[in-house]
Amino acid sequence: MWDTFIVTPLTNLLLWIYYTVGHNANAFGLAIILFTILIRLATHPLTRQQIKSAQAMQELQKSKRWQEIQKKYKNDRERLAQEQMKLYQELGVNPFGSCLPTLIQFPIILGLYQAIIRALAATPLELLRLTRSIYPSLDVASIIPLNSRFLWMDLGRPESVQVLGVGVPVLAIIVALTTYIQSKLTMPATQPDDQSAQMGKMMSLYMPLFLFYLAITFPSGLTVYFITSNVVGILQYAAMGRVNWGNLLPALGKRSEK
Amino acid sequence: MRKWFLPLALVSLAALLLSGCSTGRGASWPALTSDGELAYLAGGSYVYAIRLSDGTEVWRFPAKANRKLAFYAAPALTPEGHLIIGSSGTTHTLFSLDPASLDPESGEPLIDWTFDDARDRWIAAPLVTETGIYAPNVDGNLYALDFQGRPLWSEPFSAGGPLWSRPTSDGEHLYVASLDHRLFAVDAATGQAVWADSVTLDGALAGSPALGDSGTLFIGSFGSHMHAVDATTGHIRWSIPTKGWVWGGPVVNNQTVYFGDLEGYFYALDTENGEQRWPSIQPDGSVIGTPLVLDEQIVFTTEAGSVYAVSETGEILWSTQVGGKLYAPPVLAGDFILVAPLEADFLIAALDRNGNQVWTFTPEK
Repeated sequence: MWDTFIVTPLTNLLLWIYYTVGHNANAFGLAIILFTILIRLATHPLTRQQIKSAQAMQELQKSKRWQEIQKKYKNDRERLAQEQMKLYQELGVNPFGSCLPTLIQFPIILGLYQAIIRALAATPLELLRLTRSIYPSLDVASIIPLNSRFLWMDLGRPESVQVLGVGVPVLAIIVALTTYIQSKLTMPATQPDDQSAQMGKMMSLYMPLFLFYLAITFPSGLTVYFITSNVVGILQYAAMGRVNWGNLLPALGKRSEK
Repeated sequence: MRKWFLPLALVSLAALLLSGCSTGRGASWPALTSDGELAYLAGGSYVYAIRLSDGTEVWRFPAKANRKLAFYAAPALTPEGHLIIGSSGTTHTLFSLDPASLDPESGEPLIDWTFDDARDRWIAAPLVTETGIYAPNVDGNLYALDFQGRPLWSEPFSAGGPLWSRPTSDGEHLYVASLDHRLFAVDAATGQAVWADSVTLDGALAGSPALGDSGTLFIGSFGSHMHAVDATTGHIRWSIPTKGWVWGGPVVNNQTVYFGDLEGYFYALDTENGEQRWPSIQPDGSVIGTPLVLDEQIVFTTEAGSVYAVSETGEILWSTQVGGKLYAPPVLAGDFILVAPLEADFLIAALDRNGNQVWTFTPEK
């Protein structure tokens, strides 16, 4: 089911893009970039919903009534939860509104990852599996095997550049940096005791490290996806005016506060 | 503590899901060779030597699994009886093993030499001739080595695209099929290209070319064709459409070329003009392995785990269900037909010439 409805369609879409962009040198890297942009655009309504919900929650947490109930029931967690829920219902705020779109996107990310790995088909078993995934309407016999070269990389293998005899994972470093920048730019300005903000801060540290690990372990085709996704994510936030430059450049944030 | 627990748990969950999506399957399927007394199986973590008389294990290499090594390319035997086997794991070493010298402690054969210049996996079996070892690698190079592991050519022959199949030789030239649709003729002595240009066909070439009596090469493609190519000039003599992609190399016998396709059809074509000798047979699954010519029968395997024997007139003589998925070609070993299934309870099944199962080999843990 997962394969039929998620991985196979995404694999075919990726192959179709590869075929369309010319299926020669650099085409697979270009196909991954276009594919990522296309998927990010298709899930843009979810991203917008996520941003709106996060904004609504943030405004709610700044409100006088929220502060009052926090103070009033600070020693009664059960009652505090009941009052918070009442407030959510009254103001029509869904506390999971910002999480839900992320959760919906997660299977798509997993599917994308599997589609990239499947399309690369670097081994006989993978290639055999790919042949079974291709829709009959797609004539891909002429494009298999996919040309996995992109710039200096082989997209089917983890990337590194030899510097003075040492392999430097350039792409993995870019992934970690763009992930960090994205999480910083898209993190709302919050109060110091806000628990969700604390969690967000921890995530902004863990995620770059986690994606760095993935980038040095998995094929670099996936790393190209991560970088594109991060850049498109930042642009999406910027287009909606939700980029918080103050988180990344404190001086800029202070200036805008004045 | 709580503030870092949830993010860490989320990241760990994501890591688990992603790594779960990428592991659990080997790179390829097991492959067999035999010297008439022992069968040698490249079966993933190990290369096994199995006694043909009773199907028992004689040794395995390495004695203890090494996660950097994986073996899927069929082992090749040198005239001295050494075993040449390449790793498809993260380490791309080509080993020469001496089965006559076993380590007294571990029981594994001693390593005669290793070759570590290849940049990628060894998926295809090397070709061993009287003059040397010709080993195709996924990095696109054909490496020529002498029997001590020293390069025979000043530099390897570069085909460009991944090499997944064993070259074919007429004694003077090597015919090399590349996954990126090209067929090459290479001088075995110098490693130089023989044809003015490589022959570009209509799809990936995953199987070995077969050489016919009249100096014609036969090779199937992912473009759903069987092609006949003049071995001297590289000109295409004929191309016959098939119903599906052709993966495995064909076999030639009595002016007939036999092969199967991924759609599950088995063909017999006249080598002269490509005309069908008899209407294609439809067994119970895709045919990927190269058929085996045995006396007057042609034996082939299917993905559905069956072994078929057909006569030269296209009559099914017998068929037997072995189990698992049979991708590797059947191998004649002494009096037995050996097959190595994937995803079965055993690694090898030995059949007699009537398709009756004589023994199976399941390694001890």
